[in-house]
Amino acid sequence: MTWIAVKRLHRRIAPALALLALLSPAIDGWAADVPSYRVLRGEVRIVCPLTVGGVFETKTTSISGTVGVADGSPAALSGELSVDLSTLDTGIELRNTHLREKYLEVARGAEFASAVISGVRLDKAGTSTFRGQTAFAGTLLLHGVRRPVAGQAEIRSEGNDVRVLASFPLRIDDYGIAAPRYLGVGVKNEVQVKISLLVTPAPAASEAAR
Amino acid sequence: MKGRLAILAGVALLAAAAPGNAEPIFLARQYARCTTCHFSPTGGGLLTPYGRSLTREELSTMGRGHSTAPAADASGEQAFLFGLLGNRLGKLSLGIDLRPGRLEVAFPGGNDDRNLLMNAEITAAFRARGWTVYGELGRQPQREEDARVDSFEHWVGYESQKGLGFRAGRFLPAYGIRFSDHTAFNRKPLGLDTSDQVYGLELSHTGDRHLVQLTASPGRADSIIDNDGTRAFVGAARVQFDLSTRTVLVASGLFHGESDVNPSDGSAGLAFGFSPIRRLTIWTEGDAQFQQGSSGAPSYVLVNETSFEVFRGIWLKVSPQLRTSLGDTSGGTFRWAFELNLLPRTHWNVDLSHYRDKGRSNDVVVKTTLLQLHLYL
Repeated sequence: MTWIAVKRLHRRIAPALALLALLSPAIDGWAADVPSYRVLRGEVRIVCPLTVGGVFETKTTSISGTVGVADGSPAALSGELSVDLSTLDTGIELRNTHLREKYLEVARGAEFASAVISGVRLDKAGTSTFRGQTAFAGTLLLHGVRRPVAGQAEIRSEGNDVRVLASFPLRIDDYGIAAPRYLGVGVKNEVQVKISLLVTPAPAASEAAR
Repeated sequence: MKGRLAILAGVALLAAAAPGNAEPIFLARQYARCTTCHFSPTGGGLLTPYGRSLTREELSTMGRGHSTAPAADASGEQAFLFGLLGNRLGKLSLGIDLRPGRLEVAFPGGNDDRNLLMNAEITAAFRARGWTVYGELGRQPQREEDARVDSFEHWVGYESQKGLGFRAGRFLPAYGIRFSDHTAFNRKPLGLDTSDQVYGLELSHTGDRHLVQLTASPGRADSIIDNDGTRAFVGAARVQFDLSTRTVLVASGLFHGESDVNPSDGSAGLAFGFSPIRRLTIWTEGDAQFQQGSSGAPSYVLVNETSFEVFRGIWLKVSPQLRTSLGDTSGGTFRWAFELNLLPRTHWNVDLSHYRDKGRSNDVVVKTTLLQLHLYL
């Protein structure tokens, strides 16, 4: 390519480069300065109805993650929340062993060791300042299977932080998990997942980089 | 007079306390229903295979560490006769219950003590496709020197997958909280003692958060068999709401119709149980007992049982109990009951109970101490 040819090419793409240069801070800002929230602490409870009547709860406080809230309707949450399944506690040691090893098979790999919620969209929320109740939908990775989930959430302020309460039903067989049965007592196929999170605004990426 | 009352109270207890049966303490482990561990919907009696497994895994101090067989295995320590029969029983469950004990009763002006065999019984249950056939044959001391061999409980029952159920036969009607101590004021005085079973029909519905049990009967089983003139209609209703996995509210009603000998009577009660922490269960039940032709206030019963697991397999129980006299709220008896329950291994436990019963109107105090070895094979 001759020098003249280079100059001609430059003349052609210069407007596009200029536009790109003008836009790049905005694009960078959109990615980095979306309001983000980091999980300070939380609890996940799974309410398991028994085939003989009554229920028991399995719970863990090992939930972590950071999500960004992009304005829009419905508001979309980037990022994900991860729950360490090896810490689930049913209150009974033998039941813990069965749950983790026989049914959730947490030792099979990363996609079995954690449950991950991602792609969450809050129906009624338009901005990160939304407070109140809303339906939500998202994707849950559990037992190596990704499936859509939907439920109800409540978001409220607690000082500078935000409390999120969410619940959704989950069908065990949707995730390829064997029906929990032990000596004539089992867990029904549909369980309720209840999440309580306290999240705090996380510094934006651009701010954190300074 | 005081001495006679004390002797009567002592004799009543002689044919009495047999703790270590049903375990409402398991509310602390999120078990709000008897049927998880017992075949009987009203609790007590033969353990299901799940209940046996839980006894080994959760109740005994060393049961879990003393068996190489898995807790679900028919040859495990928790199984009938230590798993001697292996899988030969199939869907048939068997249990042998023996309770040798030592009883000491002290009352004003005297005391009484003796060794006795509280219970000796064998129970069988067959369960398949929602159906259960249940029968027990055993020996229970009825009076001071008299033991009786009989089948105190036998019934056939069914429960659908939707939770609708029935049972028919001889069983204790569902009412309130069935504490393991059948001399508790919310059991024996209300007509729920070890031989107060009815021949009747029970309808039930169990859901995730509720249990409803309705009983109708032509009379107490013994009154029908003996035809002693005490036979009368018995009706009972019990509704349980599970407010959380460790919080339960129970409303109950029990009615005995008028017989040739006895006037009609009835009881209504509320019970509340909760477990604030994993090792603590607190049950409280209040009842009012009415009787036909009796003027004045009903007899009130208030019972609390607080159970604390000091260490795995070591339970301490404290139970203040009040029962007022019919028509006289200042009368009746106040009881302090203390219990130490040691469960070293799956198939046996040692139970030490002490009762202090004080007459509210006559100040007579009767102290009863009971030491039991409970063998559950």
